[in-house]
Amino acid sequence: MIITRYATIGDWALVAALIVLATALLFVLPASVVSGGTAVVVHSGDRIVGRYSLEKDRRVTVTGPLGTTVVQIKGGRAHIEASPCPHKTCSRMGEVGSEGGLLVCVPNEVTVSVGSERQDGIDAVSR
Amino acid sequence: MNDRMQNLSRLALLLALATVIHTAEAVLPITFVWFRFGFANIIGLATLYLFGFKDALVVTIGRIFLGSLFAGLFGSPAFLLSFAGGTSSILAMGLVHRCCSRVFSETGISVVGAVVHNAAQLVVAYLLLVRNTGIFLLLPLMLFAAVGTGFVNGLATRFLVAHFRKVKN
Repeated sequence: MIITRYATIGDWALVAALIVLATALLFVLPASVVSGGTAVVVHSGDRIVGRYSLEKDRRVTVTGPLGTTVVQIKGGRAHIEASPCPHKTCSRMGEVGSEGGLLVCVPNEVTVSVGSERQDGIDAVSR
Repeated sequence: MNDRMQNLSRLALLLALATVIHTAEAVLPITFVWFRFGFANIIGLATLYLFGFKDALVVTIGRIFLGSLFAGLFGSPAFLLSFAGGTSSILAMGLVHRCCSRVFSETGISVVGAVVHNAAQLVVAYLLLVRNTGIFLLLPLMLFAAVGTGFVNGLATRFLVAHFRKVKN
């Protein structure tokens, strides 16, 4: 039988299960990891630079190893406006809003994510 | 004595082969394909089937150290990811090979190895490098990539092992 010539039934079952799992995660993960956020959290490396409300328009400047990244919050959406990195991939990632999401500048170690504000009474954790 | 020499030279040959594949893949630019195929694992898995877990562990860890030395990545984040992925992958494959080799063939075990490799890399990347749970958004994509590459590598291993056994007899 052609099906069992290159892989056993177990192999095919495993592959099918993993594809189903991956497809399911594709839909479930974005909602559970980042969702319903009202605050923009800006990280530099593993340090939290600050949390900013999406409601108020403002510019946030973050200093990383390469220089200054400028994050713009305007009309309920956050966007990386300027970055010292060579490829500017982060700027081209577009913008994130309250639906959640993540902008990353790997060279300058800056991440901008939208997540819900912490409800556990802790403002921030420093390490 | 003769037997031990034969084992040693065979192990050296497999390690050299795996190292060359690993190095070639490490210096390949990843601009158009965002994942690696992990062809070096073909050698690791074939070693597991033909000569047992201990040799496979030596070949896998050895090729990661030597390969990253040659590619100039030793000690870099890429090396850490490679090491974490490779080690957990060969451990998982050894385990599955031992417990369930009647259910899964080379293909299935290769898929298991690829999935564990990617999952371990994501966890290590989260713990050591990124520290943002957003990185786990990549999990489904990495699962898809792992199933694809694992399957292809598994088939290659299957042919390699079958051919080796035929030549040996």
